[in-house]
Amino acid sequence: MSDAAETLCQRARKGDLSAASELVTAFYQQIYAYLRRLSGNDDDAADLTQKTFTRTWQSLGSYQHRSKFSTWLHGIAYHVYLDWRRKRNLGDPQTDEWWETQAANSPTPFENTVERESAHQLYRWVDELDDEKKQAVHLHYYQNLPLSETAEVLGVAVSTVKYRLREALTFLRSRTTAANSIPERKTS
Amino acid sequence: MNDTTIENILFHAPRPVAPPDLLRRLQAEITLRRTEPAPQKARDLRSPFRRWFPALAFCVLLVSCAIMIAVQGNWTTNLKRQNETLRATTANLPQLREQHTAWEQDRAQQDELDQLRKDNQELQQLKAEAARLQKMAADTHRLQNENQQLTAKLNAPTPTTAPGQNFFDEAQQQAERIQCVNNLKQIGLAMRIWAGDNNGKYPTSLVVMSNELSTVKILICPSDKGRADYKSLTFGEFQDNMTSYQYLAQPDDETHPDCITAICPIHHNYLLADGSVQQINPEKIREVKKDGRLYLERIDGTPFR
Repeated sequence: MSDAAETLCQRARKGDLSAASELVTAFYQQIYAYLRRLSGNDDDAADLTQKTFTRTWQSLGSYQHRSKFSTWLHGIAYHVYLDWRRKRNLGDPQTDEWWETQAANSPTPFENTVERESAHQLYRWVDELDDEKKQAVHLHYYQNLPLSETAEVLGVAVSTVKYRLREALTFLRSRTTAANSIPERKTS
Repeated sequence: MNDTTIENILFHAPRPVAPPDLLRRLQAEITLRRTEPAPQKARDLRSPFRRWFPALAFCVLLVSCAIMIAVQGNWTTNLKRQNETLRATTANLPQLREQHTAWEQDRAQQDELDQLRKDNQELQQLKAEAARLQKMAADTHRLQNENQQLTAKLNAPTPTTAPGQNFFDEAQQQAERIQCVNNLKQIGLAMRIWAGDNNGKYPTSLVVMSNELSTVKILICPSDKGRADYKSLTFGEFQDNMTSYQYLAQPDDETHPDCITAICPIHHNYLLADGSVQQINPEKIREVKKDGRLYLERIDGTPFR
């Protein structure tokens, strides 16, 4: 996919519309999902996706092929989100119903209801993380980007990304531990 | 719930599905700008220099600093060496000053010696010059006598030489020479008589010895024909410049028996202070002036007697 994306990108730089169209087809779902999780509603996510690709075509001439195209595209999406966030001051938190709807609409490995509820609860706690840690979790876990690409998108060192992910996991573990202990006390 | 479980859950987070018309809208909004490859290539060519410019500038600065440090180190080393040399020189300064003073004294002495040598050389030259001048003066005196003799010969009436008369002429000349010697001997005798009456002092002129001389004819050389007329004069009429002889006597000549007191310039007869008369050949004997007096000396410099 990566080599194919690079080839399409080079063709698009030469003005090939079909190649650009193929790039959109290949990446728009991934970018939309990333922005949808961050922005909190479908319309804003669609607008941000459109802005991301518009800026992609504008900046395509300056793409130096130093990183993969998907990484570069995620970097643009990240900055588009930051601009949007700065204008809007605060993103909408995801509702519990939205996560449940997403879980119901998409395939999931959690067959057990208890596990599925625990997963939903975990996703909601991720939204409670501060921005830096949340971005690291979204890009690395949700978008499946490697650590190096995550660091490149965020413009930080890999060690920083590792630190933020470690902090995020500690936070989530503490929350899950706390959540598991409360019912036990109630039952006792 | 451990970290692995949490990571597993996060990795399998549900992916939101995009609206169905989003793809169409995105494809419709694609606006591509054709990029020119040439400028990109040119930028690529320039990019290595641009990329390495800060490092190169830093390297140049570093090399410049290293060169400056090396040059300054070299200067410092040279200055240290000069300082050590100057210190070593300063340590020997009193000794050098003493040596310098001694050297200056030696030089002054050497200069003085050179000056003395020059003075001595000039003195020798002056002595040689004086000797030469004395010789020239003696020659001048002799030439003067010869001149007087020649003048007397020119003034004398030329005898008409007749054939066979040379013998008589020579006899006449011989007789006159002998008469001249006789005159000088009488003058010498008169001088000694006069000196006996005057505390051993010789007279300063011939005329004062009128009492000691019998006649004025004694004061005229028989060959001096120009003064023959003076023979008839009396001592009262006779004057010193009328005599044929050069009178050179000084009052204390009696203590210098070899000095000349009277000369006949015609015959080269010399009256000495001891009263003797010498007939000399001018080519072998010459006059020499010593201590204000005239003496006779051989041409080769040996004494006359």
